[in-house]
Amino acid sequence: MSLQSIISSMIDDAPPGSKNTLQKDFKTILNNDNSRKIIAQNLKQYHLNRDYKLVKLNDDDFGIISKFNQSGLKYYDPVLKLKFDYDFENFKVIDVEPVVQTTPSPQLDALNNQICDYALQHYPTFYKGIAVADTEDADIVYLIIVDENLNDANFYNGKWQSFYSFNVSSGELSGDISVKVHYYEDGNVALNTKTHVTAHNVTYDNVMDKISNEEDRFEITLLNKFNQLNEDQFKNLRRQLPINKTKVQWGKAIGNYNLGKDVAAERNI
Amino acid sequence: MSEEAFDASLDLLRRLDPKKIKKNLDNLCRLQPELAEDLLSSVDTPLRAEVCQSSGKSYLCCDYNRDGDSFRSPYSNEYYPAIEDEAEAPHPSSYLRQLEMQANDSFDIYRELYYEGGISSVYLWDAEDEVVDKSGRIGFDGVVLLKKSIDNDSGGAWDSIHVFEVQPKINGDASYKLTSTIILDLSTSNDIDMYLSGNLTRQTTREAKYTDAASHVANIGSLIEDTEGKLRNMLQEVYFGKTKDIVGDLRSIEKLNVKEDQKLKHQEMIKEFEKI
Repeated sequence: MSLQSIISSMIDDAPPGSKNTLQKDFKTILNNDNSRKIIAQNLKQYHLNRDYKLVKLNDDDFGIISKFNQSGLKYYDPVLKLKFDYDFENFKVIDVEPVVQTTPSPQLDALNNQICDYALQHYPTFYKGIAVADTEDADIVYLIIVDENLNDANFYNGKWQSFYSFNVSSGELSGDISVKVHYYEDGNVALNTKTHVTAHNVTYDNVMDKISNEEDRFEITLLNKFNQLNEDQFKNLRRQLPINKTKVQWGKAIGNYNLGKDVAAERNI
Repeated sequence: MSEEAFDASLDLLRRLDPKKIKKNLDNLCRLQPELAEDLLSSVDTPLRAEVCQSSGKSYLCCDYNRDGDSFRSPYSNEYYPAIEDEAEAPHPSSYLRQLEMQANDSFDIYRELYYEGGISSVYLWDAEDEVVDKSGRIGFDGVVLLKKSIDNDSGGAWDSIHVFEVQPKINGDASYKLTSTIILDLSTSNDIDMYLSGNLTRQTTREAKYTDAASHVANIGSLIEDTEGKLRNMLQEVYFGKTKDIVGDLRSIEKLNVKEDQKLKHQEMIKEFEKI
């Protein structure tokens, strides 16, 4: 396994937030002048292709980094109509410039307004939603929503990401929703979940309703799964109290447990 | 430098997806072969089981019953796969081995009472220059391992790793130091793919009276029973309370302005109420 593939595999397993700490740790471990560059390159690929990155553009606005809104060497923000670059070594937005659209698309602009309204209604923390057309096929529109809840002070971070591909001419919508939560006080606990969704007869007018339905359904299923895992799995691994409901008699008396008979009898009570 | 690299590796392993801990641990060892030994002995990974060739029973493996690629069975006191020089490999001293067998029997009962299945193994080792005897005045160290997996529609695994030190004093008290880690992995692929996976660690110390060496096993047993109970509550709270709340905070199913409206209405009602 090459150094490149080891780093890229570890970045894949990185929790939401905490990229600065990871960079610092990797740098110490690699102990190599090029380490920052190698890490930056891998982080960039990760965020372009899999884990779309939420970045702060100014005091009020966030932007998204993904391969779908790449424009030349920069990233395009269809809501604010600007382009920006990102420095993956120092974790900051650079070279922000306004964009004057040569071929305006009223439908896409309207969709971006809708996605902003939708995000405002459903995402309480740091979020951004964008809609961009495919660079080659104008019938394909990509919609991306990224929402983060970072709270290192209380030892947790969470991230919601949804990505949809909307085919305007066939009316098909397909997408992936994923949620990651990292909790790390006195330990290291991760929730990782994803699902694939599809919808038909989708138009510019109803696309956000369809997305809202799919996201509601996923979230309700997910919240129910917690209860199911608690009831079906956790409770069957280790009991809160022993079978006979009293604490173990340690020491010589422990030899008095006649498990074959007593415990089986207790179980049937 | 290597100490910094060691700390940075531990820091990474405390953050990277706990479900992939084995893979990431192996990769970090590949990057720094000189740290491999220390990393493998400091990081808890899900326990694996071996079969004792003399008793046919399963036992659990960790760094404390390992010699090279072989692991000592708590039943036969021999390493499997067989090693060339069994006599040279580490074994507990004669009385400590008796105590180890007693401890294994006790925790087997504990396991059946709380887990109704699974595997448990206890390993003890000499920690002082003097050899452990029946009196209980000589200290020793040990580890208690418990594992249970279930595999129905979805999967689940619980691994307990309790490492302890027994330090007897002359006044008849002993100090017990315990480091407990529970690795809990729950997953489902019905409707959606999801896993909740990770570990929690807790350090505990307790002073207790002892009468002989066997009473140390009883004291440790009771300390582990209490600590596992507390850790189980913590796991319940973190896995099904806090994590679930964080998901609920990421996205609101209800529209936020509806919530705001309700809040405003509520506030107005309170104001109206106050006027009355």
